Amino acid sequence: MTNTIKVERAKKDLTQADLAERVGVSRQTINSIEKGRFIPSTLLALKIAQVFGEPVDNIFALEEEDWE
Amino acid sequence: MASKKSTSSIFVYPNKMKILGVIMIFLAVIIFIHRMTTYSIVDISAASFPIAFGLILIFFSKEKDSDERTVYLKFKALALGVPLAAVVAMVINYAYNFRGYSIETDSWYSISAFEYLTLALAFALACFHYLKYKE
Repeated sequence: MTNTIKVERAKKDLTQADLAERVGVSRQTINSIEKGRFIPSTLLALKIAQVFGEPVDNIFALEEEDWE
Repeated sequence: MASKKSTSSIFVYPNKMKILGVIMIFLAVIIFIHRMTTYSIVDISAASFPIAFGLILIFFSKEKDSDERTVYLKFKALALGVPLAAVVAMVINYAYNFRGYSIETDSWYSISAFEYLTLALAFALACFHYLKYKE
């Protein structure tokens, strides 16, 4: 799964720590999500999307390998 | 604060219970060494009882930065540590039983449940910290 969290953070001038605090997780979790090492739950993905004011589909996208 | 449905509330012990866990392990090791050096008694099974409980408190307490990722990493650590401990336990049992049936104890040797639990949680804890900083 790909995501545009880093781009959206830059648009909103948010650090990883700022975003982490707003959605209630650790900075390491946001870092892991951005680098594709951790897949967030539906709840967390929706929270992240809401912080950016974007639909969740604009932040997260499925890849071919996610269907395997 | 985590809601009741939050995955981070799976770990019921507060973070400060880790201190009690460390104290239990520390005292168990001190008593084990004292018995070994003073009375020449090497009782690993007895020592494993408080050590296992100490590790339970440490592993199943909330982390300071507890969230869904730490829950996922702890489960992944258990999935690695528990089977690994089973393999180590089988190797130890095999090594002890290599000479055959024990006449003294009238049974085949097998490590105790608390010794296995100590191994499993120690491996899981190590795996958790490794995964936390690797991922």
